[in-house]
Amino acid sequence: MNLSKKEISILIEIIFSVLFAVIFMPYFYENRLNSFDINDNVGKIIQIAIFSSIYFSVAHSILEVTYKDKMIQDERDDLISSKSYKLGYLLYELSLFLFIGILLSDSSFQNSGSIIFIILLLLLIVPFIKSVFQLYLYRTS
Amino acid sequence: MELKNTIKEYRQKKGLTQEELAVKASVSRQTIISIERYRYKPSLELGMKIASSLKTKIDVLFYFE
Repeated sequence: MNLSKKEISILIEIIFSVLFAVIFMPYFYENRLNSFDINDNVGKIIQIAIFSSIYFSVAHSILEVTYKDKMIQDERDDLISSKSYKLGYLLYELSLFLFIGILLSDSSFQNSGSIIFIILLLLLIVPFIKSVFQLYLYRTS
Repeated sequence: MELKNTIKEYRQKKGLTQEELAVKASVSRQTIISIERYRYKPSLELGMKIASSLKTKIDVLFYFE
């Protein structure tokens, strides 16, 4: 399979997500029932920051050495990006609805009014901005 | 009706590689491959650029089938 530089670059991000899930998510899963204090987790956050920096630096350096040609951004890239962003947006929206459902049904979150407020605010603002931008594009494109 | 093209035939007739045509049209080689395989339908602007790069007219390159 002959992959382009752009495809390899996307593959680097996919591998990072998998590695992150395997290396760091078990820690957060084990501590999911404890209250999260940033001071107690500074070490883990530094680990994540160092891991991410090293991973992306090494991966992109190898990519640049292996593929010397410059990446060209054309209309097909824009179309693919907008399609993937659309899917990502729908997933975020669905995740937010699911998250709200979990928060409302879980008795331990009954007092998290501020969290509910922030999520509802996001659910209100994001589609609003999206619709305004869509309308702007229809009027100007 | 599907939009098809004769880019591959014209490109080969002109002795150009996909990479060379991509450089002339300011797109990536993958975009040329996708257009030649009918997987991607280019914009009118890109169609004109490709036609110009192959020194032909756009209606010769693209047709409905």
